[in-house]
Amino acid sequence: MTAQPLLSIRDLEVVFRSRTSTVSAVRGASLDLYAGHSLAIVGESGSGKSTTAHAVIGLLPGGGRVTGGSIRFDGQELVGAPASRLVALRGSGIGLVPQDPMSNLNPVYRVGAQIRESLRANNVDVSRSTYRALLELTHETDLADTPAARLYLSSDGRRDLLAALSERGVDVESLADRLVVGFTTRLEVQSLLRQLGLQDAAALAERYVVGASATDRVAGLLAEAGLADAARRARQYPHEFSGGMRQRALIAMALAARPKLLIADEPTSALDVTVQRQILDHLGLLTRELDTALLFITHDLGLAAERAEQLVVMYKGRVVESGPSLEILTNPRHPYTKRLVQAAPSLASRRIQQAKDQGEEAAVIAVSGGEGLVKAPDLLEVRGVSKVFQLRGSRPWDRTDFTAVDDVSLTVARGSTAALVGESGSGKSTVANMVLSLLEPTKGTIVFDGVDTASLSRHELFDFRSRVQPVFQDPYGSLDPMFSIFRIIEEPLRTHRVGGRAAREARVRELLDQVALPASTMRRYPNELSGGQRQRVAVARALALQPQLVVLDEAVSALDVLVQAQVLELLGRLQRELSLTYLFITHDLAVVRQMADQVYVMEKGRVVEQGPTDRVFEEPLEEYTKALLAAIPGSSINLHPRGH
Amino acid sequence: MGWYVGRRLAQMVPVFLGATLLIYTMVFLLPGDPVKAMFGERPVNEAILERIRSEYNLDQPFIVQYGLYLKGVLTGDLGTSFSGRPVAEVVQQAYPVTVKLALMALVIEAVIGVVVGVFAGLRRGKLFDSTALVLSMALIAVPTFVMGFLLQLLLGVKLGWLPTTVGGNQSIKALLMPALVLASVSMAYVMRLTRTSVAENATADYVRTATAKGLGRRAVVRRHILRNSLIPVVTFLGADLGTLMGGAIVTEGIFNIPGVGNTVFQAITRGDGPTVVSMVTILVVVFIMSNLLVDLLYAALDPRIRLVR
Repeated sequence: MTAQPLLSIRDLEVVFRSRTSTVSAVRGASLDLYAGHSLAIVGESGSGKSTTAHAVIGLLPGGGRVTGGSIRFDGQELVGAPASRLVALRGSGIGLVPQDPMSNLNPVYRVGAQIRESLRANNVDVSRSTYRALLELTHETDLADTPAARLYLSSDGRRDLLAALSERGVDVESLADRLVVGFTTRLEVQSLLRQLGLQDAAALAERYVVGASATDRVAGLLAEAGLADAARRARQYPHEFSGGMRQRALIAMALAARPKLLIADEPTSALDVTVQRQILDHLGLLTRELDTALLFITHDLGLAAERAEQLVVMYKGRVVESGPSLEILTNPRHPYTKRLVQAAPSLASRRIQQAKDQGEEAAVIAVSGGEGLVKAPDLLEVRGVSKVFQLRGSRPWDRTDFTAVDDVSLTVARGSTAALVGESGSGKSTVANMVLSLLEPTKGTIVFDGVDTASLSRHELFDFRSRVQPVFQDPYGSLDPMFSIFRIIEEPLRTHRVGGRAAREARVRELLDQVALPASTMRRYPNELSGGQRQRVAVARALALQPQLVVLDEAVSALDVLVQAQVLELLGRLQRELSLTYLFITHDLAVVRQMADQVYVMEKGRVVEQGPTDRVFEEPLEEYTKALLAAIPGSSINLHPRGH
Repeated sequence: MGWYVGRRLAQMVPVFLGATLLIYTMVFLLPGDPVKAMFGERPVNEAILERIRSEYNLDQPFIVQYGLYLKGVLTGDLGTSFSGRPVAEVVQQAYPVTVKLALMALVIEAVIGVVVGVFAGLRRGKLFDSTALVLSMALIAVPTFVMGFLLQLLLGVKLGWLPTTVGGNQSIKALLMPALVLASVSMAYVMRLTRTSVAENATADYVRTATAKGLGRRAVVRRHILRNSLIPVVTFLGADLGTLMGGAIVTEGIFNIPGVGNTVFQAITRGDGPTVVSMVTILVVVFIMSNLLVDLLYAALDPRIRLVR
């Protein structure tokens, strides 16, 4: 460890000014990060964690300014530094992996071109001729004297080398996979060849590994970030990539110029848990290998503790606690940290399990598994339902069938919660839409309260809609921004002609009270509310018609952990008070543990495992379920029940 | 993409038939006898009138007239106008000057609109932006003919820089002032559209990522803001080409340009069916073609757009 920290923030103050108000986003934050180490800033949104990170790289959004304190990076002061110094530092000194992989790649350029930009902007020229020119300048005419670790295999070199080897009768099958264009260095080729027992390994490596072109190097960087078939992928556009692949491309981009510090700003919160785990594992591996310091920003304490050595907890712009990760997790001192530890869904489910291990059953474990009680009649029964979509091909008559949901059956008992779990693309939302009668199943039947929903007349369907209500994932998109909160909640009442004006207003007040929002919220508009408040409004709207079944499609996935915990608690309370039945659709198993009685795990349109929640969590039968469980952030942390 | 273009071209057939039928009906329903109108106040022999009527098929029922017209078009004969000239000749005379005028207007509005729009968008809320906004509002608010007369007076009469009217002199210099007038309103829209688009893209996540990569401000603007911002602008410009050609009636009137607008206007007042139908149908075809071009261009600029079916 060097005595000097790589990044040292002292008493940082950041203020956001708008025409009407001034908000202090960061108030006197301090932290130290040493070269090659990792540190996570944890806090809810608005805590100033992202603002601190953006201040470091000089990318505060409009209206934001550093008003005090200092940021020293690698011995240079960044506060008040000229723009040119920051431009020089970005990319080569400090890399950024942004939060949302969907919006952070320019949709009109190929992925490879965007990574190459990273190389060019930081003058990382990998072409052979430049390398030669550089060598002549330093009077090192012998290529062998150059750091062999920095000359990469080119696609031509790889082809020629493999040809030369197979001519000699060497089995190149196993070798081919390990020679990655733009990634494998001369040194590595040399050792690979030596392993094969070739006497002239050094000479061969020297002959065939002479530096890669920028295109090859881009492919190498993508391969390094864990993208398969990188050379072909580099020629594709961002919209042809999945979320996980895009995030890998962004990681390749951030690491292209080999920065000393990598800032990862909630790099995986938009991704599925299993993908999240793979990407974080890979990011951890890369930063360790390249000896890059990692500044990790997250709202999930479990994730932070798992991924970083040091934690800094921020709350309302202040650092409230900092220290070694496990220390903070097991022995939080500040009240806010204690709340965070309690709220972290990843940790909460661990706690339930550990409490159980210690025999402290009943009190802690959620309501009941549904077993042992008198079996209530099922409210919803989905019988062998399939949904096939037709996809258009390149020619007018080309059609391919895509089976989104394949023979899915499930039952939800009255007053219970069933969870449908799976990654995106598993077909769980399609099932939800069919249950809501928004999509017609290709095959199978859906029976609600004893009646086949396909047999409903128009009038009966209207009535059915009042008894089954959805709450969707995106509280920003699902509320009409032009409607006041009153109008949003009142609309279903008006549509179904429930009561007079006064009665409807009284009902809206009651509903707002039920979801713990003040009655004054009625007069406000969605854009004036926070994400959690909006989701409460969405819940209130869903409950307006006193439905029996509420379909919660990723209803808490977009929320911060603390808010998520509150909304989950609210949903639990409402279920008890109003004897609601929930169909809970989510990719987040940690949430399932807290909420569900029955779990259905979906993969590629099929239900691969089902059972009572406790059974599925404790004795998962399927590999896929095990993988999902292992992917819950924080699952690897061993929580000591100290202070419990 | 071949399929897409084929389908779009096939769609033009019903559009062509519908447009010609509609225009033919409207001309047919125009009040007054066009043949009588040819002779004005002079007394004419009824037999002569009859002969002219049968020459133009005006004595046939409507649907037969339309059928004969279509047959003519398909065999490359656009018919004869009431003045005795073949319609094809009228088209050849009117279209070049209008196309020239429309293209000049398009270039003017694209260059000035985009350049001003980009700078305004990058400096949103600053003095330049506010000034540009106010001026564009003024351009939109002032009627075309006011603008036309104003420029004629200022540049033509007072300063004497440019010819006041066009007439037979259809040089670029003579057409510059009408092109400016014709472009003015669209220019204001292009400027506003570019400004909004640039301002929006300037705060996009991928622009921040590009900055975080280490690109300088100029490279960020050139590579990441400009191209993405111009996609909606190009769409607007393409669609505007058709409007500029058809909508030049007022401008052509003010500057006495013997273009499409003027010719169609005169043909309507004369009840000259063959001329009106052919001229307008060509406008419709130009409009459809420029829209097709825009859609293809759109797909070329934005790889996310896939032209299927």
